[in-house]
Order: sequence, then structure tokens, then C-alpha cells
Amino acid sequence: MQQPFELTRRVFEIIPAFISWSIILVFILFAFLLPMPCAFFIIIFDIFWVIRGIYLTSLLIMAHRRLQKEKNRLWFQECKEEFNGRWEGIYQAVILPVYKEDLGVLIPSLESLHKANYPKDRMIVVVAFEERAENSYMHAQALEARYKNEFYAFIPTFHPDGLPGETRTKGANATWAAQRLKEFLQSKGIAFEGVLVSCFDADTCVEKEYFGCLLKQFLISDKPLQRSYQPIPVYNNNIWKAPSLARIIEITSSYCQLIDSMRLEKFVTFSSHSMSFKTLVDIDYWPVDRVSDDSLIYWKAYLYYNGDYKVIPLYITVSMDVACDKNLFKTFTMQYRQKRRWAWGVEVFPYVMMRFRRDSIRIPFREKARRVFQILDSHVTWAVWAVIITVVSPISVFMSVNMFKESVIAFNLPRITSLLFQVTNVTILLWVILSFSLLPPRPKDIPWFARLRIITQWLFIPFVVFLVGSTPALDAQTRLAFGRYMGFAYTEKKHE
Amino acid sequence: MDKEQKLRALLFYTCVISFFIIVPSALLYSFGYKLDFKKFRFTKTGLIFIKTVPEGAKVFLEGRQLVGSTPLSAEGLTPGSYRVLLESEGYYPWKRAVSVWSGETTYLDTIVLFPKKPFVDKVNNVDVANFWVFPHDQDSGYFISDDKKSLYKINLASKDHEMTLVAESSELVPAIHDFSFSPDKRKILFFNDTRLDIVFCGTERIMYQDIANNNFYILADGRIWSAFWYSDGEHVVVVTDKTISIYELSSQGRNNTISILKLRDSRSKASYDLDGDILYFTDLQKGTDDRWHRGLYRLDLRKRSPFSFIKNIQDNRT
Repeated sequence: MQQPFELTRRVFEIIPAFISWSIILVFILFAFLLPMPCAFFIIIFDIFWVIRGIYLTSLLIMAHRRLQKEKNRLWFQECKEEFNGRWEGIYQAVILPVYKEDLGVLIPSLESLHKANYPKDRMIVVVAFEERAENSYMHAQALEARYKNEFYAFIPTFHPDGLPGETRTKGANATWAAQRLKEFLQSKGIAFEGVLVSCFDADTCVEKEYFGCLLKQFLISDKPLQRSYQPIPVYNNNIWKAPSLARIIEITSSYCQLIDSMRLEKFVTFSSHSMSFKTLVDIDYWPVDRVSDDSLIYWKAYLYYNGDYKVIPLYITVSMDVACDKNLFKTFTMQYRQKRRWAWGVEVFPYVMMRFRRDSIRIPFREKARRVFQILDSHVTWAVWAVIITVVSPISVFMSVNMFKESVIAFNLPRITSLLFQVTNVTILLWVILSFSLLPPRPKDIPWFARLRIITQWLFIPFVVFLVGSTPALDAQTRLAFGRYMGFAYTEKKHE
Repeated sequence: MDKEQKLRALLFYTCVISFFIIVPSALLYSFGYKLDFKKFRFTKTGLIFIKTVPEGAKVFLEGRQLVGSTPLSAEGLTPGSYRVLLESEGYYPWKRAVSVWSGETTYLDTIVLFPKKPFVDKVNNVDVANFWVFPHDQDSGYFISDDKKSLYKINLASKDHEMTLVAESSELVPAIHDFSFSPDKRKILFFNDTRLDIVFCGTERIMYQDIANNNFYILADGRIWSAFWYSDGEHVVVVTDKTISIYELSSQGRNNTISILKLRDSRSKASYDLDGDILYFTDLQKGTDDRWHRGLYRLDLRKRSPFSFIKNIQDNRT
């Protein structure tokens, strides 16, 4: 993505990387040159992280509890009973942007839609193919033959390559599909206000009650058009067959989403999400030239409604594939690239900052400052925490112990960091326990001792933290700072 | 605000308050500060870290027993001198007055507690004239019998300490000065005033088919002060009162003997670095004051340049 040079925007693009690198370098310099003050800050930082870890784990437990509590709710039945026909005018449209995914990936997703507890004559499925991708038309024909009469409408779309102003991103494809959907709805005389649109990844399988849950949240909302609806993404489709390293990364990703679902004031859309089609049309669809279309769509709506826009968590899961490959190295590379793409969400910062400066945006300064701080806090924290804990902290301990062996702090620093580490282990133990309840049933071809691996995989956590804790975020921020804009890196998904 | 969000807010503020309580406490503790309740102010303390071999000793500080046993640290000590007593059953007690400074750790981490009843283990039943245990091979010992007729190898690692006869009477010269195993531990050299003996152990001699028995000897050109193995185990470096010579084992001292350096010092001291094949030795040198001075030299047996002078007394004086 090549953007015209604009000094202010470039400054905003540099700021996140500048802050992250400054924190890391100052810590490292202090560790070598001033180990004593560094020890002081390391203790503060470590305590901060232990307390933050306890806080976030508590939120995780709360969100998890809520998820379990609402697991068996018959949402659609509730809607029918509570809203007395109001629901009948609501159509559920699903857009599935597809690139190279084969039928083995698409059919389970479509089957989950077909099995969903929602009237099929109120469901419109748009499978958004890329014209440039091989086999698009063939796959479309096969799917159309299978699902043409199963929903109110089954619409395959083919996004042409190289449209003006577009880059090769999922958002561009989804936008093209949404525009075709708009044409379809207009042709049928269906009001946009009565359509809820969900944009799912091609491998997303919904739970049976997903649309019922979505419908209920839509109907009870005070401003339903000014809300996005965010399910909890879990990576269960192939979790029993994925390598431990990939599994643990994805489980922690699901945990992050669960935790964020509790922090409503900073909750933004991520990956598969739903919203009113009218709002989508009003805000001019997903961005067509950005990688982070799933979070930018929230910010577009937020700015459009001058800050009066929220994301409502749906305590129901949508399941996707764990990104993995045949060997560990390829799996790690794939995971790293996927996480870097997620971390590229830092492009939200210059996007939001540039728009906050516009006079037409009527959001109070305090609210603007709060949101800017939240964006920076989440991205900078992501980029520095693992580096400080796994690299800087041991350097500081080593330097203090060796340079000031005789001091009390040199004696106490390793003991305190070790104690804090032990407290962290307790929170990890809770994660291990929670991970079991998110697991799908064990397939018959998977041996019973695979459950043991679900426990032992957590031994990888220090490596995971070290390797993909911060580096993808630092990488993404540094690229943005140097103007090396990322394109959409497709994560290959295949089902055996 | 629903119940969950209220709970979350409560949790958040609890964490914030905890942070502001824990951080100062942890920092004060880490840097050795302690609240003096009498004066109601923070004083900077020191600590004593005690580690013993063996572990598990009781620690008494100023006559008061501390909780736990070694290794432990006595913390929050105001600067001053403290009497430390360590006691462990079956071991001699250890005591000392130890100084503590503010903000500093006094390490007592080299303490060895010796047993009251020593552990003595008899390792052989043969009278011993002399013995050697080499640092690189602590599982084996070598000794010459009291009649100076036999050289034995003894296994120190096993319980029964089995012995192996390495060389017998006819092979051993009287009045052995020193004894050394080759780096590959397959050959032994020992020497007296003028004779250097090499004994091949086990099947090693097969490689030297022209050696009739498992040993041979070399008569040196003067009085032998030191003899060392070259790192390949196939050459021997000998320092006599006249020369430094190198002997090739496969020639049994008959050929390829190199007298590499003549010495002026008839009592040259020598030391050998096997890793680098460097011989350090002393020799006499005439100084500017026209007197003879003993200097230290380095002879690098791997490099072309045969030796270099390290430092002599004259240099020291200037």
C-alpha cells in the first residue's frame, strides 16, 4: 500500500514504534550502564505486570464464567417469545470473503450456517470470491449447486483485481460483496435497517444459536444501529491436530478476546463480527486499502457517529482454524506472520489521529485523549512487555548481581523477580484449567493422551512469550514507522 | 452499570491500590530499608548470607537461633558487628564476628564444616613407597610398591579399589624423581637422575613393533630435572642441566632426538602447558651489570619461533 506523503500522518505512524523502542532501549541502556536504577524500574515493572496479570486473569475468569453460563441458552426461542414478531423483519446476511480456501474449508463454514437455529428464509449468504484466485468460479458453481435453495439467497460474488484505490486486502473483497448485497436488497425492496450483516473469515463455523444471540442483542439494544456485535473467536476447528506451539498461541489469542469483552470501554471489533447493514452502507463499508479492516470498521463507525458507537460482546463462540503447517518451523513462521498482521492494527493510530484533527468530528477532547491513550497503551504494551520480562529483566538481574554483588539489592533482585514469577505461574495454572472448557470434544481418531498434551503444551509458554510475545508487534510498528506498509498476508487454511 | 462491570471496577481499583502499596514496600525491602518502629523512620539495613558445605547447619546470631538452616540470609540487620555461630550435628562448630554495612550483603558462602569423625577409607593393602593422583584423572591413582619393584594402578572410584599391575621390577629404575602419564593415558614416563623410562600399557606397544618388551629407556645427556609429554603423546620434552631435548617415542631415543636449546642454568626450573605445548623454564642471562641473572622464558613448541623471553631481572630493575 503506497500512500501519498503527508508529514503529519508520517509522524503519527512513527510515534508507536518510537515509544516502544525508546522504552526497550532505555531499559537496556540502564541495565548495562546504570544497573541499580534499572533494578528499581524492573521491580516496579514486574510488580505492575504481576498485578496486571492477576487483574486480566480475573477478567478472563469472569468472561469465561459468563460464556459458560450463556452456553446453553436458546437465544432464538427467547427472541420469539420476548419480541413477538419483531424479529420476523430481520434478515441475517453473512459475507464470507474467500481467497484460496478450498471447498474443504468452505463447506464446514456453510454447513454451520445451514445448521444454525434461524429461519433460512431470513438468511442471505454471500460468498465473496476473488476473481484472481484459481478455481473461484468452479468453487462458486459447486457451492451454488449445493446451497442455492437452502437460504433466502445464496450469492457468490467475484471481486475484480486492481480496482482504483484498492489494495489486495480482505476488506476490499468484503466491500465489493457488500455492495453487491446492497444491490440485491434494493432489488428485493428490503430495508437496510432490517438487515444484520456478519463478516466472517472463510473458515468460521458459527454455533447453532449464534444468529439468535445476535438478534437478541440487536433487539434489546437502545441504539442498535450504533453497535457492532462481537462473538468470541476460538480456534477449535483443528485444535486437536495442531502442534502445541500453535495451539497455545491461539488459545491465548482467544483469552485476549475474552478479556477484552469485559473491558467494554475499549472493546473493538476483531476478526469475525456483525453489525447493521445500514450502518455499514452509511459509513461506506470496510476500508479497501488497509489490512486491519476488522478493527478499522469500528473506528469508521465510531467517527461517523461522533464517538457514540460501541461494540457489544456476544458470549457465544465462533470457531476458526489454528494456523499451522506440516513442520514446526513453518507453523511458527505462519503464526508469526498472522500475529504481525494482527499487530498491524497499529495503523489504526495514525488513522484515528488524522481524523480526530478534523473539525467535523465532534468528540470531546477528553474522550479523544482516552481513546488515543487506549490505542497506544494496547499496542505499545504488546510490543514491549515480553521483551522487558524475558530479555531486559534477566540482563538487569545479571548485571546487578555481578556489578554490585555486595549490595542488598543485588541479593534481593533475583529473589523478588523469582517470587513474582512464581505468582505468575499460578495465573498460568488457571489458564490451563480454563483451556479445557473451551476445547471441543476429542475426535475419535485422537488418542486419549492428547489431553495430556493440552497440559504439557503450557511448558512452551516462556518460548511463546519470548518468540511471539512482542516481536510481531515490534516488527509491525517498525515497518509502519519506516513506511514499509504491509499488504494482506494470506494465512493458508486447509482441511484434510 | 451491570453487576459484572461493578465487580470489574472494584477489581480494578483493588489492583491499583495494591500496586501503590506493594511497590513501595517491595522497593524498600529490596534496597534494604526497614521501618524502625521506635524512631518511626526508615533505616538502611544490611544482610548476611550464609551458605555452608554441607548444608543444613543451624545459625545463631548474637546467641539467638534463626529460623531455618543454611543456606539462609539474616536480613534487616542494622550496621554493626554480629557474632555468628553455625552448628551442625557431627561437625565442628564455626564461629566468627561479622561486620554488616548498610545496604550491603555480607557473604559467608565459603564455609566448610568439617566432620568430628573423619571419613578415612583405606584404598589398598600394599605398602607404598610413592604415589600419584592426577587432577585430570581423579578416578585412578598410581603407586610404587615399598620395595620399588612394582608400579600399580588403583581404581579410586570403585568400592573395592581393584589394583592393576602396570610395570614390574626390571622395568623400574631406582630413585624415581617423577612420574607422568601420557595425555592418552596409554604410556607412562618416569625418570631418575639420568635415565628416562617409557612403559607402554596394554596393547599400545603393538603400534611399535620393533620394541621387544613393553618398555624402553633413554639415557639423557645430563642430569634430568623435568620431563613432560608433548600433547600428541608421541614425543617427550626433557629438561636436563644442559639442554632442552625432544625425543620421538617411535625412534626409542635412537633417532630424531632434537636438542632444541642449550641451557646455562644447571638447575633450570620448568613447567609445561600441555594445551598449548608451551614450555616455561628458567635460564641464566648475563645482565648489563656483568652478572648472571636467572630469567623466565617461554618456548613455544608449536610455532616456528622457538622461544621468547618473558621477563628478566634486569627488566624488572629498569
